[in-house]
Amino acid sequence: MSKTPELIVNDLRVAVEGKEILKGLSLQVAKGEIHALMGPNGSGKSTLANTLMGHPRYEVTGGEILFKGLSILEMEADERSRAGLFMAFQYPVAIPGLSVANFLRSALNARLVRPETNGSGTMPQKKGIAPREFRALLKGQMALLKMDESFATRYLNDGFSGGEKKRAEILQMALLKPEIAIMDETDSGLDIDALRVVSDGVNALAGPDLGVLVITHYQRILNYIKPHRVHVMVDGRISVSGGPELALELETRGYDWVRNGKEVTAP
Amino acid sequence: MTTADLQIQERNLFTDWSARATARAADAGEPAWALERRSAAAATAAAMSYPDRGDDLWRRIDFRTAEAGIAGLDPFAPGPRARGVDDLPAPVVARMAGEAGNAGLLVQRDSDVVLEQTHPALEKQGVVLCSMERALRDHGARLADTLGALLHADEDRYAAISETVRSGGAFVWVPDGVEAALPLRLFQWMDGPGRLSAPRSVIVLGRGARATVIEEQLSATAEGLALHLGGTEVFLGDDAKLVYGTLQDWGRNVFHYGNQRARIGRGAELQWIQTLLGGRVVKSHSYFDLAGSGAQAFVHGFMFGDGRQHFHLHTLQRHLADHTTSDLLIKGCLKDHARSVYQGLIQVSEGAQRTDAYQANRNLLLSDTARADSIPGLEILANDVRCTHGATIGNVDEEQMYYLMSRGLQRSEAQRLIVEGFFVPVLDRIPLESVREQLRDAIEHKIG
Repeated sequence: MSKTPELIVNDLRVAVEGKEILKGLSLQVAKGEIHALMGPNGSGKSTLANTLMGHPRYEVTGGEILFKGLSILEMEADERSRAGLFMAFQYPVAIPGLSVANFLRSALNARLVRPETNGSGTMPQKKGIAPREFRALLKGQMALLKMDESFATRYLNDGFSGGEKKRAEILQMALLKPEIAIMDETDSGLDIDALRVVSDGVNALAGPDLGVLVITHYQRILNYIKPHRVHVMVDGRISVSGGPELALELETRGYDWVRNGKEVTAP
Repeated sequence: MTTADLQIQERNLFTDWSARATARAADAGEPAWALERRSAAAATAAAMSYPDRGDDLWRRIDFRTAEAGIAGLDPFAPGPRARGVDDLPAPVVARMAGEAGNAGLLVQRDSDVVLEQTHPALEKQGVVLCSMERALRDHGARLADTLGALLHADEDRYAAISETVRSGGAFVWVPDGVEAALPLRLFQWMDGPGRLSAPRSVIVLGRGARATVIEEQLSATAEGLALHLGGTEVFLGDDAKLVYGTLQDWGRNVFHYGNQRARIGRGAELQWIQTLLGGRVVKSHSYFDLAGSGAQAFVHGFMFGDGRQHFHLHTLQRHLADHTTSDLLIKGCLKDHARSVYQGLIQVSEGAQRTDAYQANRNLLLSDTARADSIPGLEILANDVRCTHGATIGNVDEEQMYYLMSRGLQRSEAQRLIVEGFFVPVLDRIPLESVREQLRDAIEHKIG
């Protein structure tokens, strides 16, 4: 591939409450590609996802994250999102009293309306997407994801089942149209039907304008989402990378096989 | 000035107010029993002292500014009579949102009810909506065993003063079996500082009757003290259902003291919504008597303070009969240096078996200098009951903030959505969409 990948992670080191979790991790994801990042519990997968998205609790102690050629380390989560990064949460957070529709309209407007203010105090104009246009857009996307219309009026993730939460994440991804999307253990806690719906959603959105990083503990989701590259993470760094066949090998031989010093290939 | 001098001065003040109030009321045709009650209240006011920090209900609130300034206030400031909605203050008209024709209306301005506008549909049903003055003249018998039945002048000195100079308030009467065709909307407006407003309202629903009543208290912020000493008594006959909203949004110079009492009959249901947004120091006592078997009360309220506002809301869920239900949720949101105290008690009397009582108080602090206190209590004398209560106090959840920001919302916008969502369980209970919309705007404005 000749062009520069949109997401470049270089020798990334991250600490949480003083303890180093990521220990020199490097990874590149370009638009049009699907990468799977697999690893045992505690290997630092979710730390990577949340560090990429800008969770304030994770402290970058070394290395760099470049998105579309620029370092995003100093950017807050909202700026990263507006720049085109997305993360589907492993545990989506409930916001009681905030309807899905109101939330999605606000999120879309944050993208459409806002000229960056740089704290100069200029107020963004209160316009954004017209209510009718928004309703049509939302209705269309929900139909694609086989979601009931009543979903829009429910409070965000409040009392949602595991499957509904994940579907809501995919809905957000569909509307926000990121360039790089990180799916943080999106498959955890899903029954097979929900897993299929979520995978179908990701497959429908994948294409030349989207790069996807699927983070998972299990090989199962990779029966539905076909990655171009598979990376195995152990103890805070990528231990081995390869093609789709690597996932199958892991499934049969287990993580110990990688842990016990398989030769590291370049990502 | 010595304490004795002060006492003499206070006594003279109450004697003077009592004389003027009685003269006005007699002119207005108030029956003898009501006039006698005024003079008795004046004597009570003179005999009592202001509640102080020794009183458990006054320990956490400071009304001394009102105490010190009360002698300079005018309890008889006349309000100009309105021929129609157009004569009303603009903020009151704005709250009606063009729906004045779809409701029974009663508007008080300072000490006087200046507009009583019922509606042919309501009149046909025999629904009464009028000022307390008119009600005492025309419906004296109906008031003799309701006005003062739940709320007594010796509650504390403010209640005694309120009864002494009582002026205005509404009387609502919905006959047996009648479902009021339109909502009833009550407004209280103060034109400026220097006022003492003391309305007393009585709302009576007959057996199986249904109604929606929304009361709004408004004024523009002005320099100088104003004091509101209000009282409302609500009676629900057997199987009646009332949705009652009391929405307080005074200017920031107003000290507010309000007593609300409700008695809920057999099988009747009260939906109570109370919101406290305005005022400088606000003290509110809302008591619910579940008096008949199977009576139900659903109470939803919030306080939202900024600047140096201070709110104290006291609620009492009194289960007096068997198989009664009360479900209460009070939310507090405080920014800047604002403070709230929620004090709530569930009482279950001996015969009130199979009571189901719930009380929740949730508080959200938006600054390090804001403060919320929650003081729940239970007094249970029956043995077969279910009573639960819970309170929380916390800041905006950082995981919620991160989640919303990860979708591109700026920090301030994310916080706004979370805080607005916090109020929604209360807002959702407000029956009129336009009123809900106005409150939402007021909240949004206050979030800043």
